[in-house]
Amino acid sequence: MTDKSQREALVLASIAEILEMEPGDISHDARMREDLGMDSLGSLELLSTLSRELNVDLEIEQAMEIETVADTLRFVEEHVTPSESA
Amino acid sequence: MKLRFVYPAFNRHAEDHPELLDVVPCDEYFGPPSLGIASLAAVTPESWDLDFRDDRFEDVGLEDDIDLVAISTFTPSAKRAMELADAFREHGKQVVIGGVFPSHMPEVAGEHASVVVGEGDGIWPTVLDDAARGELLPRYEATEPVDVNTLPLPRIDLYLDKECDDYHPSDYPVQQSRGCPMKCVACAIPGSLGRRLRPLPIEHIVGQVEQLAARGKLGSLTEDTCLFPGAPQRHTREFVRALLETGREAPVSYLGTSMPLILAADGKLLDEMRASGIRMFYLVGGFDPITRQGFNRKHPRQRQRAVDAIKKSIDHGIEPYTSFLLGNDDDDEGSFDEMLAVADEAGLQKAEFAIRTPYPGTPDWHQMLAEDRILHRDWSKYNDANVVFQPAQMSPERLLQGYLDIWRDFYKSRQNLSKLDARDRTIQF
Repeated sequence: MTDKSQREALVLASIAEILEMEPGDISHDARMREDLGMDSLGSLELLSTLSRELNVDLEIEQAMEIETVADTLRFVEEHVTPSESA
Repeated sequence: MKLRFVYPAFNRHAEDHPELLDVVPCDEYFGPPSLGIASLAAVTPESWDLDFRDDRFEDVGLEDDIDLVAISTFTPSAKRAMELADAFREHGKQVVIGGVFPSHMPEVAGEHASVVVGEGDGIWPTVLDDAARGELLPRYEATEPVDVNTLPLPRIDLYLDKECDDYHPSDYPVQQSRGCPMKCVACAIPGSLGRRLRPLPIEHIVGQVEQLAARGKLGSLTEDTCLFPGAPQRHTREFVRALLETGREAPVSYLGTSMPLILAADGKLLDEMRASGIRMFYLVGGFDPITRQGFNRKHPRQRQRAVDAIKKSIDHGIEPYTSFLLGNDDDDEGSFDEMLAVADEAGLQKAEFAIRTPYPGTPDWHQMLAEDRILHRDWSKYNDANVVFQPAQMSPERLLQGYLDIWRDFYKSRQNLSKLDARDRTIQF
């Protein structure tokens, strides 16, 4: 997945799937736990899905530090390999 | 100096509700103790002459010549543990008590024995030195996490040597990690073992499995961390590949995990697991959005995801033995039927049903306390088989009846399970 907008769509679709929402209803400013109701295992599922789809290795401690949707998007961009983000 | 480890008795589903034995066509699993005693025994100096008594089926020896009694307990056995501590003290013994319950309720346990709070391995030599001088302190706190790279293999032989006609588990627990950064509502691990997940070296995990295999036993990977992303999943991959390299069927009874992580799992990893001989997942429910919301008819997508998770596991050839938790705040009186419908739709063969229990040390416990929903503190009833809190959408009596009914209704159409071989027809109840 080489395009940033594709990765953003993947992140939003994955959050929407876990939380039974529509991707278009998810604000980048939304807080994962407080606003969206994402619990610990939901965060792990998200991280695991993104790891699999983007072929990146992410640690669960990192997932616990993510607070907002924007954090998630930034986190993904920081962890995709150069060839994937080109 | 003589040291005796004691594992106190506790009741399980079928002991509190023997009528379940008439409706469930499976064998009741009478499993081994948790690894606390075996782990401490492994770091006990040779200068101590140690032995082990399992209160579930043998006398604990109150009158015996012992310098120190070490009781390992969790909430279901806490009441009995404290009774035993009192009895040993009345017989002039020094007593120390540790485990999940004392770590979270040291004031309660401390009325009956010296208490070890947290991981015992690091502080254990100090406890033993103090006991040798007859100067046990009221409380020992493990302030630093144990370096898991230094841990010896647990003395599982203490448990294996107890096997007899009435007690012969097919599998024994294997530890994969300590601590966890997650905040799962029903889990006490972060509070007692720390908030950093420390995976044990792969050689240690394989070593635990191999020492069991050498005695003809399977390892149960009871922690639900095997599919956590990052280090735990890398360990699982390494572990599975090590099993594959042996060319023999994995000496593993099951791996613990949960529905969200099955859905997120790489299918290739599941295939490798199956190829290595892993035949069962223990799907823990009640912690995640799927099993907390999927059974109240308000979240159809979560319901579908429950079906999908079970089917995905089946499609990869790994039986998804599922533990349903009853009484979550989203559950109402219709949730029991929804769980049955999901199980049937997904083709689930075996399941267990547990009543939500706010164990001390869990976020759920603190929530229930804050909301004044704890009904009593008879710890012997904190065992997944009794209602100890006020449910949100039904009475305690209705929840208990729903629990008994769902065991019966689920297995009503699965009576043919009694024809399976012993390994396949044994479940935890």
